Amino acid sequence: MNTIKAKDNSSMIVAKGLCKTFIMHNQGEQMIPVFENLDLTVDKGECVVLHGPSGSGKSTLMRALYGNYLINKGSLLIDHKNQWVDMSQAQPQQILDVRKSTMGYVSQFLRAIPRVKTLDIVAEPLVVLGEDEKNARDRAGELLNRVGVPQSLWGLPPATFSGGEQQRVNIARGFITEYPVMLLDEPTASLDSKNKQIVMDMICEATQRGAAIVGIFHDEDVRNFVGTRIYEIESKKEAA
Amino acid sequence: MNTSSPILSVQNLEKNYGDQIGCTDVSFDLWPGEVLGIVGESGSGKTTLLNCLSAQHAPTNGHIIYDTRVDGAKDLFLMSEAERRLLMRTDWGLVRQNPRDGLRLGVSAGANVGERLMAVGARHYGEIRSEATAWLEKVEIDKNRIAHLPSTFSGGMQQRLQIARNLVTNPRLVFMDEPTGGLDVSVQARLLDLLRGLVARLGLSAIVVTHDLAVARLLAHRLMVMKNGRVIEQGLTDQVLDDPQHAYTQLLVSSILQP
Repeated sequence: MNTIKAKDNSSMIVAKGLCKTFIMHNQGEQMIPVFENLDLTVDKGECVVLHGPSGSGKSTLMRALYGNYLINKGSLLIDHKNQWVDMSQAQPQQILDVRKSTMGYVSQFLRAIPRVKTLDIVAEPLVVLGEDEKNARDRAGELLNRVGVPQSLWGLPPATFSGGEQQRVNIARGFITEYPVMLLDEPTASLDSKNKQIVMDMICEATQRGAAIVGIFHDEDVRNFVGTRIYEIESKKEAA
Repeated sequence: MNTSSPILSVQNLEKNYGDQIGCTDVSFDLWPGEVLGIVGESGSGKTTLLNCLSAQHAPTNGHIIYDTRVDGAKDLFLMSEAERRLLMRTDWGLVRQNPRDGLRLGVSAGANVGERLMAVGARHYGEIRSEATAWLEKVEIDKNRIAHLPSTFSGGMQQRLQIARNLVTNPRLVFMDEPTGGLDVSVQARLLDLLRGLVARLGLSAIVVTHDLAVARLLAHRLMVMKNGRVIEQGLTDQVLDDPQHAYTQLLVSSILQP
C-alpha cells in the first residue's frame, strides 16, 4: 500500500514538486499559495536548515512532511523501515506508524494533555514503541535532567510550566526516541543560552548517529552550529 | 496497530426516518486498535450512525460487516437477533452520553460491573467481586462505595462506573456517544485521561461520537466530519483539524473558543 521498494541510497526524505495552497472557503474562496514545485532531499546525517522570511512557508513545509498538512501536488517519500512511504498518499494508519517509529516532530509549543505527569509525557513515545514503562521513565528522567527540568516538576502536568520549561519538556519528549528522521520547528526559541547549548549538542549528536534532520532556527548561532546545509524558501505570498 | 483486516467494515450505509435522511452514503473501515472520532453539530446524523453501527437500529440500506472472533467477517443484520445480543454482551461495549441510560440504577455499583461478567458466564462470586473491585479502582471509584447505588453518585462517577461496566468483559469494540458531554471540565479531563490510557493499554477499537473537537483530538486516531447525514471529510485527526479542506470543517474548526 503506497510503498515503493528499491531503496538504494542514503536519502531519508525525497520530496518532489510539492505544491501547497490554502483555500479559505469561508473567506470568499480566498487562495493562499505557500509553495510551488518544491524539491527537497535529505540524507542520513544531514541537518538541513529551512531559511526564509517569516510567512514564507517553512512551518507549512515541516507540517506537510509530518502529514499534518495535505499537499496539493507532488510526492513526498519518507524512508520507513527501508521502504518508501509516500506521505501525500498514505492512509492515516500508515502515517501514524511512520510517526511512531520513523519520524519525530518537535514543535514550538507543547500540547499539554490534561492531568498527565511530565515524566509520563516524556516517556510516552518509548512506551508506545513497546519499551517497558519503568525503563522508559528512567530514560525520561535522564533526558529531563539533561535539559535542566528540576525533578520537583516531573510529577506535575506541564500545563502551568513557563514557556521555557514546556519547551524543554517538549525537547526531552522529542529526543527520547532515536528517530531516523527528525523535524525541529524552532526548538531553541524560548531557551536561555545555557539550555540552548545543551539542545544544540543534542541535535548534533542526533546528526552524528545518522538521523536526517530538517529544522527551522531563527537564531543564526544555532543555525551555524547545527546545520549542515541551508535550504532557501522563497515567499510565494506576494504572487497571490 | 494491526492492519491485517478491518474489525468493522461499513458499506453504503443509509438510515431514513420516513422521508427524512438520518445518515446516508457512509462507508469506512475500522482497524483493530484504531479509535475513530465522528464529529459534527447536533442533527448531523452522528448519533443515528452510531445507533446503526452498534446494531440498535436497523439501517435502511447498506451493510455493516463485523469480524467476529469465531466465524470471521459477518453481516450484522444477517445475523439472528440472538447472535447480535450475544455480540453486544461479549465483544462490544456501549457507553451512552447519559450514564443513567447505560447503568442499572436499582442495583449497586459492584453489581452493575459484576452483572456484565455474569452475562458472559462468570459464576464464582468471589472472583466476580474482586474483578468488579479492581475495575472500580481502575476508574478511580473508592472501593468502599461498591455496595452503593449509582443514583447516589455524581455525574462524573456515574460515567466512570458506566465505563467500568462496559470494559470489564474485555470488549474488542467500544461505542461511545459523547462520553464527556455534560461533565465539568475538571471531571472531563480526568475521564479523558482515563479513556486514553485504557484504550491504549487494552488495544481496543473504538468509535467515539462527540461534538467537542478537543476531545476528538485527544482520543481519536482518525476523524469523520458529518453534516446533514453525510460524511463530508475524513482523515488523520490532526490533519483534518489543522488543515481542514471542506468549507464546513473550516467553519467548525475556526469556531472553537480558545480558553
